[in-house]
Amino acid sequence: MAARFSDVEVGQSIPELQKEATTQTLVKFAGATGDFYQIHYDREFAQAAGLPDVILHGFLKKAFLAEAVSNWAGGPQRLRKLVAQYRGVDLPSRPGTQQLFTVRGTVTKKWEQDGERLVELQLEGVDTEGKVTTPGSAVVALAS
Amino acid sequence: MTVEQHQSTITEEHRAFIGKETPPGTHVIEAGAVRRFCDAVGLTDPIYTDLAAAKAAGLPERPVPPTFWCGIMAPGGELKRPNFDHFGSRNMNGGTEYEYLKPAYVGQTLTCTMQVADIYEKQGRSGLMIFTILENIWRDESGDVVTRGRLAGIRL
Repeated sequence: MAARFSDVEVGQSIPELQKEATTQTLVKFAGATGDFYQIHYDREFAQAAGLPDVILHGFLKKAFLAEAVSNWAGGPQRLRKLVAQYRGVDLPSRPGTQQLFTVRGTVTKKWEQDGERLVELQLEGVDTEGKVTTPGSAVVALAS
Repeated sequence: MTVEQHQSTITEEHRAFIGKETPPGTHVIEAGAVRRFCDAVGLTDPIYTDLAAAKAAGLPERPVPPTFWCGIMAPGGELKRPNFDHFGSRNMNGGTEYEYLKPAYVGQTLTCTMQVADIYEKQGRSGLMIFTILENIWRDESGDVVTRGRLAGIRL
């Protein structure tokens, strides 16, 4: 069920979305977007750049944020703004080591403007250890 | 007490790149490209890939996924941007921002331009960082802005 503006209260949370990326996910994402920076698929290259392993693309994590917001708001057409900051790196799951990326969101503001009922969300992309690697925010226009 | 003169790493020559736009790149939003994108990011909502599902949701066509834009940018090779290779050791993507102004759907032909919107420096925990803000603007067939994107490239 899509969120309705009249039911939304500042401080409320949106349902958590849990995602998992494997090394195959990173290769698929590279192919789908044309981002072939080697730190996302070549472990030796990534380690030479000082990283522990290949890392998730920032835009892949942003897609996870967008999915959580779209699910709650009632579709991608509800989105008006989406911001993500890439503060920490996220690693893909490897056999025996599962890495999960969880998206959380909280309503921080609701208002009406230009005939639209807008809600602002504070977002957090959280790694398996509970560290917020990807803070963000969104503005959505909700049904009344 | 003497006031130390702060020497900026960013010169007038660097600043001259601000506002210089690339020629527009043209992109047809292909159903297959959207399907591969959805598969890559694990987006299972059928509205993106199934026209009947999109129509059942009240949409005229399959919508463009909200972050699909990252794969259809302006020709970056044509962007005239300042070179900060003499400074620091690596590049990072600090963050991105999308503003959605008009919906876009599979089958549309969109154009994208990119420009350096701003250049500035900032003192971070690990030292000085140079920010280059890139702005991408996607327009539809009638010239209306569909999505505006900003990306903070960091040199540190």
